Amino acid sequence: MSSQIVGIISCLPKRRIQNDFFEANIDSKTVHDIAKMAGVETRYWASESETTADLCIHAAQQLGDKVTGGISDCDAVIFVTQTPDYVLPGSSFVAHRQLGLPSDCTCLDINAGCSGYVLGLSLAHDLISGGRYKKVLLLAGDTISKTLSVEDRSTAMIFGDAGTATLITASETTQKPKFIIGSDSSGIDSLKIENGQFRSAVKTNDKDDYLYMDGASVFNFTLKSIPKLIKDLAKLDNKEPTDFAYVLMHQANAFMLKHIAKKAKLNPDQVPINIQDFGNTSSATLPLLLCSDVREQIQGPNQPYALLGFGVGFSWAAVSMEIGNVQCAETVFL
Amino acid sequence: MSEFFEELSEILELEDEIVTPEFAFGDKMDSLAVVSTIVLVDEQFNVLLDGNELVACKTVQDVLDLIKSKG
Repeated sequence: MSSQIVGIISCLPKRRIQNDFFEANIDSKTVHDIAKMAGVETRYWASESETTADLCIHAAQQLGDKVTGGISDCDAVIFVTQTPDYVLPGSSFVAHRQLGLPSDCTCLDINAGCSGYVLGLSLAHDLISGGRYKKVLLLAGDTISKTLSVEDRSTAMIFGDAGTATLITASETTQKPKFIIGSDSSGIDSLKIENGQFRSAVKTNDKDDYLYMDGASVFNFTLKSIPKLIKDLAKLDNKEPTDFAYVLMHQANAFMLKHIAKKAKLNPDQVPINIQDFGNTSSATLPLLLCSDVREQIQGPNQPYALLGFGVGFSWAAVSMEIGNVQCAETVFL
Repeated sequence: MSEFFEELSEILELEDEIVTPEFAFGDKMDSLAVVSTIVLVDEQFNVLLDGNELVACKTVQDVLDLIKSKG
């Protein structure tokens, strides 16, 4: 048994932040240089009272109204986030309650960032192909803005918030997706929030309370791993990288993505980039790409896609899969 | 090599000056210049430099030596 994506909705908070917002804390030349390099023009940030679960649940409610059969009979909900509502219980339970899902529905939470959407797809596919599950709701998103210091030039301008909902069901006709998933835990300290959990629970009112990113080492990891990952993924599915209709990459940095595309010998048309509109929204960048740049294409006939997530951990997760005949692919606001 | 020097000069935001091997970076090699230089070297020499090793370079010649040691 294989699986297929039947619908995707992405949800953004309404608060739109433009680059000049950062000039209160970072000098305007640096703001200009970072914007040019990372490619981010606008991003959406949640208000104090809005959470990742709010964004994902709103997306799921819209999805339930639009796909045939709805989502009320899901037998698993997977919630991928690093910004949950509570230390416990997991956000999948918050979604389970708000969406009125049945008591025989399994709730699972995954603490993952930029690789998280593909990890979630992999888990959903394995649950379905194992035979005990038929319909899986994958919620993925983050409100990283809540972890940022607006004074930190390496992180402040890059990240945006978004929540997404994807419905995956059993399919006898779709080709089985091929996954490559890996971890390089030497990167633990390169992308990290030190304080606030149980290793160092107390906030110290300094940089350790906020997201820290060693940009150069993250960049290095990405350039080292991702061009090879594209080649390996194509080979795993007996393809050339240029055989994919689209290679959707986690939106981390426009300059870097263009370089990776060139290095992997992809056509620029194969590699849509939308970081200018939303920033880096962690596990939500891939569903946001599916709902915006290729939304019409995924509602047409099946085509071969590569989806690649990479980042915190370090980690990478890639899939070669057919996507098509998707019933709805939309971006909405909370 | 002249193309490398020209592009590196652009990364370092030098006006009307092209770097030479003797050029000392001073405070010009900031975090944005580091990632741009990593990409430039990868494109032109197919060598992936480590950010920390690049930051340790004081002159353009140090970068050229680093590239040579990895090439």
